[in-house]
Amino acid sequence: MSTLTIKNLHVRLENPSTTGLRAGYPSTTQAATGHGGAGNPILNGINLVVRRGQTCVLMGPNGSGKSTLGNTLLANPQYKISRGSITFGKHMLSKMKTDEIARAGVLLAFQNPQTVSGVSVTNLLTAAVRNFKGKGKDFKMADFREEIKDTANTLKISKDFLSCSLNEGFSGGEKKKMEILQLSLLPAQLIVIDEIDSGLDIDALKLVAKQISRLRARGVTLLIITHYNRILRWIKPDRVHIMHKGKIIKSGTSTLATAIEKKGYGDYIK
Amino acid sequence: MRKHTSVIEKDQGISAALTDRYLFRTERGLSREIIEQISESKNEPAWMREFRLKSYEQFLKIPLPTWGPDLSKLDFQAMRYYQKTEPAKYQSWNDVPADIKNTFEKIGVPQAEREFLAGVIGQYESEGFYQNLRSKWEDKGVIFCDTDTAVQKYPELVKKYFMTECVKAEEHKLSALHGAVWSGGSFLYVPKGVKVDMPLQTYFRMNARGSGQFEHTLIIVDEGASVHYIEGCTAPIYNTASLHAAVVEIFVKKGARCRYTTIQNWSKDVYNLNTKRSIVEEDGIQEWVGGSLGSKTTMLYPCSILKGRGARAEHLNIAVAGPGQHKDTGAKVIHCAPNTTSTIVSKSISFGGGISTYRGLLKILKGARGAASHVQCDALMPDNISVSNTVPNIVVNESDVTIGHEAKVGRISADQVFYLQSRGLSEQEAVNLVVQGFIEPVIKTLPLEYAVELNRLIQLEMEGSLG
Repeated sequence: MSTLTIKNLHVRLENPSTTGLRAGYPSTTQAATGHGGAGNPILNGINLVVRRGQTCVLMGPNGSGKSTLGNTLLANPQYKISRGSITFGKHMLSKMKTDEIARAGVLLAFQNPQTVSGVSVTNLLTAAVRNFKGKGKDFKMADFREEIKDTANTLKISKDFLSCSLNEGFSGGEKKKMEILQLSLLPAQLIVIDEIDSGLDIDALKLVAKQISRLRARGVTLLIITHYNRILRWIKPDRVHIMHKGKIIKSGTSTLATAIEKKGYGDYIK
Repeated sequence: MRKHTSVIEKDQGISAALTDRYLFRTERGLSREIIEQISESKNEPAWMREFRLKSYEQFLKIPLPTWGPDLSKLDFQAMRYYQKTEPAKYQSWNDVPADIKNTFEKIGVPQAEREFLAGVIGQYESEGFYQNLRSKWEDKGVIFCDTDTAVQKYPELVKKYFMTECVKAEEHKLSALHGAVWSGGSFLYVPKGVKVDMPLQTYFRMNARGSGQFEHTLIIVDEGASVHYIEGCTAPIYNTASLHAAVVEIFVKKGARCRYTTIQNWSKDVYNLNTKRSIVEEDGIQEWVGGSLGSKTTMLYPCSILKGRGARAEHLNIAVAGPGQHKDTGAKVIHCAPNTTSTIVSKSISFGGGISTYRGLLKILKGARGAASHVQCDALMPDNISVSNTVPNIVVNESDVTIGHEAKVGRISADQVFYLQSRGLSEQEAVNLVVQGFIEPVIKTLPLEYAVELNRLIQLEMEGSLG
């Protein structure tokens, strides 16, 4: 039903001093990728269709614009769409705010998740879940809390991590597991997974890949951003797209990923 | 969840109707005559009247403080210093006049009393109008009444402790003013070894326009005893400056423990200038927990004097400064004896151009060997137009001590807000969650009812601060 359609998408980096202007929040980190100064285009006409239930992989060398695309899908105010559109089913994502996009079922696993002092993942999830449709009368918070524990168990996240400050002092791997935990518990239809495989050891990676497969089996549409194909040992994608300089330069099936593993990007990015 | 007492202004209509309610009130301004009228109206013994007049002399001599927030707009002659509304102190809510009872019903006081408090005092304008203590505690010798009643019924205790040793009238202009015109407040005495395991609460309501409230709270926790005392304060919103200049004096005897919790939500035209101090003897523990909301200008630095060996103080404070507000708050701890310890955690939130200042004094006297103190000041600013200052003053005259001081200024970053919004929270909800996390270390020390209340208050205060 819900297909992600990206048409001729052009994006540039918003001048940092004008981001979050409404509240005047200062930005502590530079936009996800360090290239392309303010105002410079970083996506130059992306066309991409991800059909419902499909698993797509977006590959490309560092700085090709993959993470920018992920952030733009969720309307990160640091990025400005200058042309083109993003739709997800009936939702015009390119005209929506981040929280509206999330509530439409489009969620993002962050490459660099934020730390929130004094707020546990349980606090965050219980606050967030109330905002999703379909969590009406039958929804019981106590059951949801149990669900959090069960999913944490599956991901081998220890109980302490559910009640301490989110991501504070967590290792890279723990942060990534926390991301997958959150996205597994909110009613997602499309999950964008940004570089989940960096910073994970092999055991953690297996656990995370298994959980992603479970989401896939649930019918969740997946857009996996990666620049290795480590994770592709466990998840066989339906489509593979290669990005370079803000454009998709090659699309294919999972054999494309295998080819890149062998030969690198050299053949495609000349 | 149980209904909790609330210091949120819910019904302006009712409060406004009550403004002109009085049985007796002094003219605006201050003079010897007005002070004599107050004393006479209270039918006070001569020693208290003399004390008032002496304090007034001091008030005239002492200048306003020259440090901290600007107090030059404070017009002492424009204030009304005393306003009595009720002929008697009620012991049952059934006897309380409907309009006042209504106000207190709305903020949940009678219900909270039935459910989880050991005793309650209600003060309306200058005088306490309601007081009740569960007989269980009365039987054990606990005294809980308004301070005026204590002057009449327990003169020896009051004479001994009232502004004699802990806070003296001549200390500064506001303490002198307080000595001259004080009225109401709570008097709490917990006898040796009695551990009161339910909180006692006093609720102060200042309703009249351009008036002053000067309650005096005196708490004596005798050897080995313990108590948790809570104060809630509000006033409705007018556009004339009002003044709240309270004094709190606490005596924590050997091995005793006192927790003093206050949540203050003054209207934005109130000058809130208080002096609160505790003298803690051997192995005693004093805990200060405070949430300071509202008001135009607040100056408040609860002080613990650790007099006895092994005495301990814990200060936890949250101050919120929004548009047009100046919060100058902090803590003072004086370590006078060996092995005394203290912890100060101060959290401030400035937004919409508000100014918050942490002003602290940590003093370790010669001979206080093995003293240890840790100070942590965290400021949170969700924008670029607000101000946060830290003025820690540390004076150490002993070498065998352990001291830690940490100060952090936190931002709510665009990335953090984006991250939380990507989980489906609105921008306001995202900011609220970050704020909630920030104050969590203080919130978790509050009884559930007050934790919920304070969270909600801060959210209300900051609502609409975006955009």
